[in-house]
Amino acid sequence: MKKKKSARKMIITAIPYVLLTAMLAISLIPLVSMLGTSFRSRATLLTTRTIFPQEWSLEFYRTVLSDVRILTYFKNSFVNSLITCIVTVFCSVLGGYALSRFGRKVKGINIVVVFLLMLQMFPTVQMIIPLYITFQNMGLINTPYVLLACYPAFTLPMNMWMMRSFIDSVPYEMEEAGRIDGCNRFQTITRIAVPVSKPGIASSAILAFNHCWNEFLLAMILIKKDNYRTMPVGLNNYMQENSADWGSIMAAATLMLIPVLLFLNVLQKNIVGGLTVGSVKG
Amino acid sequence: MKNTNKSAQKPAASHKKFYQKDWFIAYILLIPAFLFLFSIRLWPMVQGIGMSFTNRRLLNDRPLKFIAFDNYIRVFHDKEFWGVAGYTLAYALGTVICSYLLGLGVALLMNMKIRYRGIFRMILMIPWVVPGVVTAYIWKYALNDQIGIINIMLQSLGLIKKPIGFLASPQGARTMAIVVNVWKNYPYMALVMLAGLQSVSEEIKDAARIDGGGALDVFRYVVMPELRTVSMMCTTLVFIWSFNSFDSVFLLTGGGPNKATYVMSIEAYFQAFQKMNLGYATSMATVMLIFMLVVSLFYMRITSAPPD
Repeated sequence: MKKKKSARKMIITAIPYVLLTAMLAISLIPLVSMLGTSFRSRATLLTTRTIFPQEWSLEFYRTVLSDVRILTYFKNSFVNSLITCIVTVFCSVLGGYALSRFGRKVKGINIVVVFLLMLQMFPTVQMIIPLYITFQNMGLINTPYVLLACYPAFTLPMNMWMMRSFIDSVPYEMEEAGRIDGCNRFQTITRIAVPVSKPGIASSAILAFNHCWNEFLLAMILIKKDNYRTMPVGLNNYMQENSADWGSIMAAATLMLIPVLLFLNVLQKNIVGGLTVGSVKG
Repeated sequence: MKNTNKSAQKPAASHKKFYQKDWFIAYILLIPAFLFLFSIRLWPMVQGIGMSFTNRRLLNDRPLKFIAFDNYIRVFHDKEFWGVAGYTLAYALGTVICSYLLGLGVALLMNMKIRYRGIFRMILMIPWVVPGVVTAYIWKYALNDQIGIINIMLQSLGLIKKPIGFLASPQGARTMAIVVNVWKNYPYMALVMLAGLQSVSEEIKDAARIDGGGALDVFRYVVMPELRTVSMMCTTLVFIWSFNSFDSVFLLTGGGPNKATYVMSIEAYFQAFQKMNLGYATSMATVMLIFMLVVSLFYMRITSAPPD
C-alpha cells in the first residue's frame, strides 16, 4: 500500500517535467534541424534523413565564412549594434533617471511616460515612408550613418521604461547619503544610481544590441548598397540568391544566432521585471 | 524590488523637496533621448499623416496636390484592402489566442514545484530571441516538402503518405504564418504569466483548499481572477505587435502565394516602394495608426486600473 502511494507520487512529480520537456523539445525542432543540417556535407545534404548527420562536416561553415559579403554584413551589424547599444544606454540612463525620480513632482513627465509606451504600439511602416523621403533629401540613404541615427529612436522607448523601473528600486536614501558626502547632482547618478542598477543596465544594453542585430525593415529600406548592409537584410538576399543551398543557409543562420544565445542567461535572470511592465518587445 | 518601489512612490517630505528644487534637471536629462525620439519617431509620424492627404508619389513625376480625404475614401472602397485587413486581424487574433493558451499551459507547469526552473526558462525563451530572418528561414526549411524535418517526421510516423507543401497553398501559407508567429510569441506569454502566477499568494490558495476546493476550483476561482490584469495586458500587447508586424510574414512567405498572406504592413510597404503611391500608402498606414491608437488607449486603461 505504502509503496503504491509513493510510486503514484513519483509519477505526479514527474508529470510537469515530462510535459515541459516534450513541449520545449517540440518547439526546438526547427532550430535543432537547422543545427543538424549546417553540419552536413554537400554530398549528403539531400540524402540524410536523420536530424544529425552520420559524418559531421564543416564544409558549409567554410563556404559561408569564406564569402566576403557575409563577413562584411557581420561586421556592419556588429558595429551598428554596438554603437547603438552605447548611445542607448547613455540616453536611457539619464532619461530613465529623470522619469523615475521626477515622475511625481515635475509637470509633464508622466505624459512622457505614456508617450514612450504609445510609441511602441504604433506601426513602423507609417513613419518609415516620410523618414525615407527625409533621408533621401538629406542624401543620407546608403551611408553608414543613417541606421545609427535611427536605431536609438527605436530602442530608447523600451530601454527608458526598463531603466525607470530599475532606478525606482534604488533607494532614495542612498542618493541622499551621497549628497551629504559631497556628490553633486550628476555624481549621484554616475556614482550611486548607475553602479547599483548595473544588472538592469546590462540587460537593457543586451536588448538594445539584440534589437539592432535583428532589425530588418529599416535596414532594408534605408540601405541599398552591399558594403553597408547589415546581417538580416544581407542574409535574406544571400538566401534568396542561393535558395536551394540549404546547407550554407543553415550555417549562416546558426552563425547569426550565436551572439543572441550568448546573452540568453543574463536576459533570463533580469528581464522578467521589464516584461511585466509591458515594455519589452521581442 | 516591490518594497522599494512602494517607498519610492511615497517619499517623505524631505525627498520631495530634494527633487522638486531641481525640476529643470529632469528636462535636461531627457534632452538626449528626446532628440532621437522627436526627430526619428514623432516628426515622421506627423509628416506621414500630412502626406496621407496628398497625392505624393515616390518619384516626383506629378505636381503635388492636396486632395483631402480622397486617399482614405479610396482605401475604404478598395476590396483588396478589406481582404488584407481581414487577414491581418485573423493573423493577430489567431496568434493571441493560440499563444495565450500555450503560454498559460507552460506557465502553469513551470509554476509547479520543479527544479531547474532557470534552465527551463532559458530554453523556453529561445524562440522569442531568435532573429526574424533566422526564424523565417529555419521554418521555411523545416516546412520544405522535400528535405524538411516536419514532412520527414510526419511521414515516418505514418501520419501522411505524400509530403505536404505547407507554404505552397494560400490556406496553408496563411495558417503557417500564424503558427510561426505563435512559436515566436508564446514564450513571452509564458514568462509574463509565470511572473503573474508567482505573485499569487500561497496563503489564499491554501485557504481555498482548506475550504474544500479541488485543484480546478482553486484555479478557476482563485488563480484566474488574480491573473486577469496580467492576461489582458500581455494579450493586448501581443495583439498590437502581431497586427503591426512586417518581417515575420514578409520573410516567411513574401506575402505570397498570390498575395494570400499580405498583412497591412506589407500592403502599405508595397504600395509605397513598389507602386510608389506614397500618399495612398501613408493613408493606409494611418488607418492602422488610428486603430492602434484605440487599442493602446484600451491598454492604458487596463494597466492603470487597480489590479483587484
